[in-house]
Amino acid sequence: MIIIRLDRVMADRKVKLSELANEIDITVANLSNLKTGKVKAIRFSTLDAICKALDCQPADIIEYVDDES
Amino acid sequence: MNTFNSKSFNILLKVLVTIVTIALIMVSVSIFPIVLVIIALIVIPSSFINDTMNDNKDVLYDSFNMSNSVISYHDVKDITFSKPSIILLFLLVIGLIVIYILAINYLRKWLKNIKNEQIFTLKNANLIEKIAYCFFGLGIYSAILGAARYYVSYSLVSGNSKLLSIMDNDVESIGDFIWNVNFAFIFAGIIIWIIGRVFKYGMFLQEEYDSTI
Repeated sequence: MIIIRLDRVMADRKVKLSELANEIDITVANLSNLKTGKVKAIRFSTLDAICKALDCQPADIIEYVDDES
Repeated sequence: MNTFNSKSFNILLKVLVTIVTIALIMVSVSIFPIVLVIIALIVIPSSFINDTMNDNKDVLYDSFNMSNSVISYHDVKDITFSKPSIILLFLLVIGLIVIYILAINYLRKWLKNIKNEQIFTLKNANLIEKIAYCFFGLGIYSAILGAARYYVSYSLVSGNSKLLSIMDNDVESIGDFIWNVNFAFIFAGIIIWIIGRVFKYGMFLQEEYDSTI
């Protein structure tokens, strides 16, 4: 399964949810949903904006974990 | 989504909701006179109506110019008032109005939802499907009313074949019943039902869109 590691990257960069939401121009509610893994999909444009704002790679935010392990 | 936010579209929706609301009120009000007639039919004894008709048989015979046809004065005497059949016909008319009320009400709810920018929702898809079922009902109802009209005619003339033949009855057999089904309503119902299914798929796409960040 795919796990979102946005909280970890945000903690590293010491960025607040509202600050990031403001920077990438999406609502705090939507960003919160993304952080908690409640969303079904993520657009490339959103991923691009997050990577740019946090100066990281997509792999830092998204991680694959084997269900069976 | 800009289409739904445009001013002209909102005005159009407001006008449509108003028209449909007026239509709903008018159709609902039209039930009351029929209910009054049914109550009057229940209260007034059949014998009184039959006596009044018997007193005016000459007028009836002359007014329909029956002297030129195969109908004799003796045949006209067969015309008797049948209370249950007339009440049944009026009850069927009330049923028809109820179907119209339901269809208009569903349409009004749907338009209101669109006005509130709730377009691809399960509620709307179900409303559209219900409108389609009302159309199927209206299509079949015309045949049922035709059959009821024949039954009323038969009861009124006490089975007199001469009188029955001059009456304009659409439904006299099972074949007539099938062909008297309003296929325009049935076809419209099928189209509306398909639109309802399309809305269900639209609802799925909307959910996918909403849960994508």
